[in-house]
Amino acid sequence: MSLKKEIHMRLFAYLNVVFISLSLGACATTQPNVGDEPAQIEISDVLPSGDEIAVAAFYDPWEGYNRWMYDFNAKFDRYIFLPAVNVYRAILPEFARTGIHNFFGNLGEFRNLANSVLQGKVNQSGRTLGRLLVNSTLGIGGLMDPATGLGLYNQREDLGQTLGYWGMGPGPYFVLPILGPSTLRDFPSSIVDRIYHPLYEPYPWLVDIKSSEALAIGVLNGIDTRANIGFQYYEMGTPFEYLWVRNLWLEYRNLEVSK
Amino acid sequence: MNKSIQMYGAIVSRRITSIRCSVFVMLCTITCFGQSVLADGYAYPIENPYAATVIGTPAEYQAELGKFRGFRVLKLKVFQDRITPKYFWYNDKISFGLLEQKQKAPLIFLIAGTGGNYKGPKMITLSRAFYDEGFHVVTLPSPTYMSFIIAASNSSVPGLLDDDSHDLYNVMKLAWETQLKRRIQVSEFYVAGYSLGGAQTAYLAYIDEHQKFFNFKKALIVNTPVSLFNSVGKLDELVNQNFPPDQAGKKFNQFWRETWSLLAERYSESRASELQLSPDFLFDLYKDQDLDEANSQALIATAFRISAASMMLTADVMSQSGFIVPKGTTAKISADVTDYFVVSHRTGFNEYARGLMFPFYQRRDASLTFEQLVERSSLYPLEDYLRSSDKIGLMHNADDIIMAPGEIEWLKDVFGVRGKVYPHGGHLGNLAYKDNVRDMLEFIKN
Repeated sequence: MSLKKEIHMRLFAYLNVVFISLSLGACATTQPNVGDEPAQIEISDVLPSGDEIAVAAFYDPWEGYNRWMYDFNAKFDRYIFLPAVNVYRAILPEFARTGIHNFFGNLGEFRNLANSVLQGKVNQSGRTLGRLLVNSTLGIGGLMDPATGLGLYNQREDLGQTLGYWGMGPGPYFVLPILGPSTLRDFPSSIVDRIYHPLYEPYPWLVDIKSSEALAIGVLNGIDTRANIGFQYYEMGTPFEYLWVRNLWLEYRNLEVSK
Repeated sequence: MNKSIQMYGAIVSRRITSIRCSVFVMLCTITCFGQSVLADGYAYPIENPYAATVIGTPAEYQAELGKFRGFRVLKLKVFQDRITPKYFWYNDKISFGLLEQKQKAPLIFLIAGTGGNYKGPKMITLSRAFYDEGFHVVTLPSPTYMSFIIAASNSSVPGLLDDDSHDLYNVMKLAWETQLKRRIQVSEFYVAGYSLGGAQTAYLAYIDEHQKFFNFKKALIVNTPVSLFNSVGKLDELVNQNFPPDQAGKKFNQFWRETWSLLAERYSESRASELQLSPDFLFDLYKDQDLDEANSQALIATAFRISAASMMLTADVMSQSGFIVPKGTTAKISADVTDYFVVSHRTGFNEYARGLMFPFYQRRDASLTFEQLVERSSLYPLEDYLRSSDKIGLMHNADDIIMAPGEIEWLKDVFGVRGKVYPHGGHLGNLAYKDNVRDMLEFIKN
């Protein structure tokens, strides 16, 4: 089986997981099973007619599924992802982890460059191209990041941002299995970004890669990504973390699009 | 010989650099903030107490501290037989932080402020300062923090300082017995806390006088409220001023939109790949007058309301008080709880105290009056102890926004020479400022 086919199969399997969990996770939002006696303060007591609800006003038609998946992701994170990250930190010294992070980051520059070009950002495309060239050569295949010191700093771009740049709204909020918050605009876009990712394309220098090795690289990529995200599930100290994360994520994506 | 010449050279050149640095800093200070330097010799740069509270200390004014490499995270199951509600499954234990020295060393416990986790930015500032000075550091969440209410609070209804501090003391003992004792060698124990954690620190010192488990050598209290009701009342007032109850949602959404578009504007100008709400970023906003007093107030009010809402709702569910969530309510993880979100964010502390806390404690002790409850949420019951105990020190700011009139004077009178009150800094804004860090370490070490 060619690598490309393998990748397509894996993506297909992932999509299946997404849609099966969408249908299983009961799309319709449930309501709490409320006790008999009414509470001392109810929403009608505090919400004057004509006032808006703060924060909760985001388009989230799949809230039931999303909440369920958010919680699933938190469990996955606690019992599988973070322990793996801890093992990774324990067996590899910091410089090696930094090298790996830089390496994947450098491969990500293809995506940044393509989307920067698609948005017609000339200066940024130049910077990103320069960054890719400098780090791939001076930075020994992307293991080091001398480009940042030269003013060629990292600017993340992806297809979701490109579509947003050309005016497409984010659509419904969509929590993905394992990968977490996304939207109906960003999720399919990220698949396209993935398909055109250099690791998944038979570029000359990777042409001999076997599928088991590709899997190992994929897992390493995942662990590296997780290790570099400061967020931890259920550490915001609020019973309403789902609402805050949804809000902050969507605002953050808007910010990235507008940049 | 050669070596000593080299060393001498290094020292001289370092001196020159540091002199150059301090001249530069002095120039900056005099040109930008001349007034404050001349007025009182205290050069923390932000005079507006609300702005100071939001911004904190800009990098060039911060004490120089070693690189922070993260806490070792430890988890503690406090009550073996307590069943955690399914909806809160992730709060079956509390987490706390440890920075350990390799050799035998003194240990300092740090207590977070209202709604604070063990690893917030202020905890990190304090931890770095004490760790650099050779302390083991153990950071604990506030008894008002969600997982503490669920997993470590005896009553699950926070607000009474003596009760909450007993819970903390219990956690500290348990943490020592079950985890710390076998990990680290400790010469003596200290405790410090900021904001509400400061008031609890006073109670912890008092409890320790009787239980004598740790025999704290020193206890340091930073920007403490004197009366919890007064301080929270001031913050609730701030919420109501900035988000008037009849249109709180509208006002909040407006504020939220403005804040994000401001961030977007700044973000597109900045070259950082990741947006960082660092003191420097906020300080720049302030200097360009995008962050004015109104914004600062709204930010403080929002942050406070978020912690207060989390505390109220968690306490309500755990104690089954039927305050916001009807008694006996259950919810699947997929359930929409937005209504409870709205109600808890629109409910003030006073309503919580009268509607939940007071009835709850009255069920335990029928003779309890509301005035006694208010008293037990203050430092007044400890006045004699605080006056006489040499081990307790205070750091505070004259313009702290959570203080009612007369409270700073009361603290000055009670603590005497053991109390240091800076002319400005708002609520904890100057915590990382170099003079403050120096004074803090000086008090603990001498």
